[in-house]
Amino acid sequence: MKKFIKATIIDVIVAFLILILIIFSIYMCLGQAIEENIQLINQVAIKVENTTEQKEMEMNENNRLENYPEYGTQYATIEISKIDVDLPVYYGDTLEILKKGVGHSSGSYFPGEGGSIVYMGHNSRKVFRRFSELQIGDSIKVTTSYGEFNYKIYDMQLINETETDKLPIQKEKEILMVYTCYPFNNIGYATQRYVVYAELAE
Amino acid sequence: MNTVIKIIRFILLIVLTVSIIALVFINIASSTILNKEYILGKMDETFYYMDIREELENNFENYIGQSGFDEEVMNNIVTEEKIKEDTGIILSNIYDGTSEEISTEEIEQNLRTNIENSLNHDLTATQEKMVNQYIDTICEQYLNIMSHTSYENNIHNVLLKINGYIELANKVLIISIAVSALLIIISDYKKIIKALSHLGIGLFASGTFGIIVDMYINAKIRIDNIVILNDAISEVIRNILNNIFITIRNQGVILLVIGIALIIVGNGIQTYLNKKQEEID
Repeated sequence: MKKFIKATIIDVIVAFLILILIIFSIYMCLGQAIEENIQLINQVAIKVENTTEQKEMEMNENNRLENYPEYGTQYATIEISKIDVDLPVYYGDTLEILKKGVGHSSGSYFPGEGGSIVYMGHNSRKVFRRFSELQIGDSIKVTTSYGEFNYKIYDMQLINETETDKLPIQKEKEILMVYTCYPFNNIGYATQRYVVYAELAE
Repeated sequence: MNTVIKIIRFILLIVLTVSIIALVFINIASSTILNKEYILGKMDETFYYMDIREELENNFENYIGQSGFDEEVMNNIVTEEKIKEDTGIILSNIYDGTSEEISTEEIEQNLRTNIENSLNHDLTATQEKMVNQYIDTICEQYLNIMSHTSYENNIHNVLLKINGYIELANKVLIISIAVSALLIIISDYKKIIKALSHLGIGLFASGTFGIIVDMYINAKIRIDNIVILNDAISEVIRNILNNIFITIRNQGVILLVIGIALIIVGNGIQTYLNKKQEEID
């Protein structure tokens, strides 16, 4: 029995010796290349669990907003009852965002902050196709987690896509500017924008 | 003389182990990533066609808002069957060397019909041009998402070379395993049963190597987080990689168990025979 155990242990030791030799040889010849390739693969491996928790938006006593939304997240809804619009508002203005609803231009202020707010949406049937039916005096309601804001339309303008001065960013007065592509039934890329200007009613 | 034989046997055992490891790895590669049917199977398993359809629809929606068309014009312009058929064409180009091209005629036709149904008026020449441009853009998007590369034939040529090398390597490795095993047996012909344990050493080392490779890769690479091109392709790649490493581990375990069994049986019988011989002497 002793001889059997001894012979078996020797064989296992020899097997491990061979294994170590092979691993060592591979490491010496290909070690660097293997490490480089592993690094390369890990570069395309993203950690999905690494997301930050979104804090709720709040308006403090000085009428200043706390906890801004993350880019691409919904923070409000816009309601224009005259044209049956009730859509989510997302912070940002990428194609991906506009596909889901109304976008909030990231350079503009938020409702309640007392400055220019710029919203945009496609001219498709589900979004702002019926913008032409809006008139001065019609209301727009924006509902956020920190409050409800009602605006009254005071002007409408047709501008070229390059006329950014027609969408001025200022912080003296709260103005909501909502625009879409024009003509509303256009086919293909539109170079004009139909802008609705509204001021805070309450 | 005895020491020289032992050294030669040790070298032969290294050759045997390396040959087994290489043969296992080559066979896993040729039955997985180098096998068209395996890839198609994995695509089915991971709902690739459904995911690609969602990806396409998602992508097309980016264009709908700017186009001025209603969302409904995108309804049912691409079917899963069409995606499956075109995926088959791309894989045939890569694996079989065919030069077939993906046709967008069906998509074009479906989209045109939807657009015509959605518009209630006759189109002006400019609008007609816009519609054609839009359809071309959508078809181009479809081709981009479906193929991702224009080097299908180049990839096929590389695969051909790899397959040639694999075929050659397979033959060389089988001969190498047979010859080294035979020489190991001959090197200790007086104790022919002991040769079993020598062969067991090779299998034991090969199996342990497979298990170590699986453990090393799993510790170093976050396979489940790999993202390449889009969700559908990433899912297929993740599934294939996981499957390959599971296969390596399983084959490693099998080789290890056989190796241990051979070592025990070889040494057990040899010890018994030696004891018998001692009794006779």
